[in-house]
Amino acid sequence: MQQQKYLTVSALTEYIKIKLENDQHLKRVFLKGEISNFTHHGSGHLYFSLKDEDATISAMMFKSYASNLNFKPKSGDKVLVEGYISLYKARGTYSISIFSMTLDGIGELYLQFEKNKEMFSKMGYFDASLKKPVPKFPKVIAVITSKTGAVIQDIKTTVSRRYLLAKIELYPILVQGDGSKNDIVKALNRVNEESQADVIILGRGGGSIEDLWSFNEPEVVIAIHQSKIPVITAIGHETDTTLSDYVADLRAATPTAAAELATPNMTDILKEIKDKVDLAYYYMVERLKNSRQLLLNLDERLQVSSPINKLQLEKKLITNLVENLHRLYKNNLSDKKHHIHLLTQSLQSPQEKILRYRETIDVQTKRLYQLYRQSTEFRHYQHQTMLNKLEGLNPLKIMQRGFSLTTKNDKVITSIEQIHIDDTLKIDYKDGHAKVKVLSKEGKDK
Amino acid sequence: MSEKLSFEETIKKLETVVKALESKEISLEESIEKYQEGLKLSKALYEMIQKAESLIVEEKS
Repeated sequence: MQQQKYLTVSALTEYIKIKLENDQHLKRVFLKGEISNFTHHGSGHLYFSLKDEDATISAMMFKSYASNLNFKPKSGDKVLVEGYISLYKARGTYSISIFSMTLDGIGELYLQFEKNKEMFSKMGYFDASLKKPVPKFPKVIAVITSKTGAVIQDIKTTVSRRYLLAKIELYPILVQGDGSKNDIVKALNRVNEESQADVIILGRGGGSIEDLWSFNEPEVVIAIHQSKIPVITAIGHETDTTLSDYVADLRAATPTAAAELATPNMTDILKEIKDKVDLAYYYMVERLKNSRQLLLNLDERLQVSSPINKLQLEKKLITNLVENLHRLYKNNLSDKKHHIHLLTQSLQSPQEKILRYRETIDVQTKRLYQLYRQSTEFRHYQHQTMLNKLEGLNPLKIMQRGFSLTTKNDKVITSIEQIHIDDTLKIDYKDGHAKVKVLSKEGKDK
Repeated sequence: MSEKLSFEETIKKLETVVKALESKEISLEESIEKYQEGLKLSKALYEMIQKAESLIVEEKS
């Protein structure tokens, strides 16, 4: 009897099974959790556990349902599932039998993000060649962002600091949630249709991927792509990149950076203007210097080719001609003169001849005279010599030395042969003469 | 002489005058005429440059 109180395991399990499977809440369960112990069974069924921080539940998915999955589940995936609770008697375990499963939140969004990114990329929406240049000096900047919040404030502050000339137009939008996507598209179209804006800043503060999701919506991507006005995006934090960022002409990390990209810095502009003015001044000075040099050269050439010079040249030419004329005339004259001179000379020749003859005569006369003198002197000398000789020969002189002269009939006796006995001879002495008779004669021995 | 000519046009004119003067074929009478024209052009050009220079200095200071 006591045993009546005890149930069999099977009975209890069956009871629990009926309870579980008939519970209205458990017949259709929406559950979110993280996959663990994932097994892809050879049969095609999936077996795994779903867990959160504190609990775990077994899960299975039949092949027929698994084939509809849009992703490949794996351990660690956070998923959203729909299924019912069932109990497996043999093991005494309950599990959730899943008929549909998607990646939870971020996971699913990433999946879509990647798919859309690939699609638009293939369509060429992100091509660098499509990026429109952002004007350097915008007059109007259209800001599409939340009416409240830091984005518009940061942009206003930055623009007023850098470039007061730009006007900011705010196109308020819902930056997240329902209607956000349409707001963005409408705002983009409106700016393109009615605004004078030179550039659009599409901005939103930081947030989760879900918060930023509107900016990944294909409609928004297309609207940005179609915008004729260049679009700068500043969505979320630097690490978040939305499809809007990809399709935009420029992407900024923050609203402040976007405002900087959209405007030039006044300080830079002023410096640039100053540099340009300096350059212009330099060019102008150079230009003038060159012009002046050009003019100086021309002026010099002008002065050189002045008619005064030409006149002087002509004058010189004339002077030369006149000089030539004079010279030629003079030459001619002197030639004539010379000729006359020559002629005159030949005319004067007789006189000269006379002179020459006279000279000759003189010379000859002199010579004659000289010769005569020489001749007389010689004679005189000869004569003297003769006289001297004669003197020496004078018998008186000899007689004075004791010699005497014997003559016979006035003939001088020089040899004994001339004398004969009894001849009368005359002997002259220096102081008289005597007559003698020859008594004897005797020749000298030879 | 037209006063409305630009510096470049005037200097071109002066150059033509000088070239004509430098040519050997020009007659004396013609050269006197050209020379006078050249002097006028040169004077006008100097004035233009001086004016431009004074303007620049004004701008700078």
